[in-house]
Amino acid sequence: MPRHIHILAAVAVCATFPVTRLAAVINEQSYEEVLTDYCKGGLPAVTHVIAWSTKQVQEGMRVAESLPPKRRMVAAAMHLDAHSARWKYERGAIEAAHGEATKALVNRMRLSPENDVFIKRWMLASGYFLFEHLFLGDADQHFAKARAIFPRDVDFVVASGIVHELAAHPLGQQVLRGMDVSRDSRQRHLAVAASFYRLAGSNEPSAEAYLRLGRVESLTGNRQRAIASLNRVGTLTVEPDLVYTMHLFLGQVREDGGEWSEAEQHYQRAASLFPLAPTATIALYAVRSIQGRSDWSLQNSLPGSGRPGDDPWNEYLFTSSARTSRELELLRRTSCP
Amino acid sequence: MSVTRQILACVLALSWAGNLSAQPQFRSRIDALAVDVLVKPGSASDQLSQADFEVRDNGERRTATLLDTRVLPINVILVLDTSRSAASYFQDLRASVAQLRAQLRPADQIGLVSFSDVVDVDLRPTKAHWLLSDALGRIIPYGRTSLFDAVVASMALSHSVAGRTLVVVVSDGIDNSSFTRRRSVEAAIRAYDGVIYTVLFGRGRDMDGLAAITGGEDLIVKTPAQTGTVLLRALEQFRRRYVLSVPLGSTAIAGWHRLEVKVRKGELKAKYRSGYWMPESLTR
Repeated sequence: MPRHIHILAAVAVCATFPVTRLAAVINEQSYEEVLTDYCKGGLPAVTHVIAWSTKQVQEGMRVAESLPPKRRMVAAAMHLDAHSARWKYERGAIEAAHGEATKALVNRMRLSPENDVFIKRWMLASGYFLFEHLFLGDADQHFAKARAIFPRDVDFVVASGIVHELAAHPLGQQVLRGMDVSRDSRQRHLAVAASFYRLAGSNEPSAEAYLRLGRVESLTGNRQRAIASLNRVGTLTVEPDLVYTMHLFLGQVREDGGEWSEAEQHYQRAASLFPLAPTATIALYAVRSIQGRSDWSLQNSLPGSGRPGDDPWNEYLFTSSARTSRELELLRRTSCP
Repeated sequence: MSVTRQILACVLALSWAGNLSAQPQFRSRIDALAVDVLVKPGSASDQLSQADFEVRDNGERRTATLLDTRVLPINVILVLDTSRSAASYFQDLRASVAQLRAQLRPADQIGLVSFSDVVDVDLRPTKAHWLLSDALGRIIPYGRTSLFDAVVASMALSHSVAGRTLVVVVSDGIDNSSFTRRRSVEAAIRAYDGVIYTVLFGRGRDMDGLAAITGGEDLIVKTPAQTGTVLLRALEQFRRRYVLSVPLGSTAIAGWHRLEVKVRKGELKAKYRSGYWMPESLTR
């Protein structure tokens, strides 16, 4: 997570600035100039924004409200970015002020073909932020709102499915935030997730929808449907992350059927796509051990210092900070001239 | 392959006491199986002889040879939970690991696997024990808990060295981000020839029963300050274990073999791996 570390380091440096210095920074550089710099280099170019006080954020917000609509989009993107970064560092009034600023700016926006792309990107970026921190109840409502605005949009249908897939996962079950995530509800959440993924697939062929549908089908014991769905992924995309995860899930489904050599082949193909990703290597070792062929040579493939970004499984499971960062970057590009 | 490695361990133990090769060697036929046995209560079990053990393989009685492993080096693989949930006890854990390190003998090897969102091999098994402090010093707890993935990774790592291996998993006992599912870990553990201990500082139940498959135990830590004592207990128990070499002869059958070990002395009870896998390729 180089960006995450970069931001944390930047926040740490900014936090050591005397308050007078911070005030000087915002005085010397007008809010408009800050937005211009943000457009040029993203948050790393304006790291001092995340160290603004609540009062400074509110002052900036007042300036933003008087700006033309296009500049307000940039301001909304920047405050969401700062909200996300600040959250990782310290939760409280400042992070909340950035969050309120971005919401207020977006709420003032009128739906129009011109604004649609920005609003969609904003809803995706802020929704993935909610995923990242497992605010599943908020994410559920957020994406329901997004579906009401963009009823045919596959991204929001898939995202709604992810909310329920996560709620069925131990991660979701441990973090009770606004949804029924008791163990009894697991099957219900999986069924709802599957229905969203099917809907997404019927709207528009989506590799991610079929990948996730395949996993959910396997979790509910529908092996044949899982295999059919996962095999469709390979016909829709060659994107390595998705193909890697497809092979992992196919391996697991084959394991469930006792088809060890097929499972092994899938894990091997996954491992060849991402040699630094430990998940495929670990799965391969396990399936060989189960067959009585513990393969000591696989330990050579285990990474010395893996990063979540090296393994698409982490991305799949956590809809991680990397994904939020990617969406924020897309949002910035959409809003900046 | 793991069974073969056990055979090698037996042969080495009998012939080269104290002078093990770092690289495993492999044979194409199974001759014998090494079975680690913990006898409880410990205080009464110091003077057992070969005749005190009775071993059955799928119900069939086998003549076991008691190996003298006291002077042989061991491998210890530490598997540490470095997720966010472990942050509060991590300082104590560093001190506890230093206590464990002090009890290692020069020829023993130590390895370190840490896990959070991802599994890291921080230290491959080595006799350079001082590297452990450096490896621990680089770890910053964060993220979720890929417990099952880490257990499988540690088993793979332990196959890089010959000799007896103790895997010590220190965790709150909750898995929430592994790809590997519990049933796969359980199946892989059944084929594993090392001994796993779990040191639990939380109420998680995800590891329940897994250590027992290998003949190991779940040890509970009530306060972070107890971790060192509990780690030392795991090491001390491992050193105290008896190792039996069980000949398999020419009748070895492919598949799962259930093991039974009894101590024919007083009220003593044996803890040992529940069985082993005999690969078809090694029975020909």
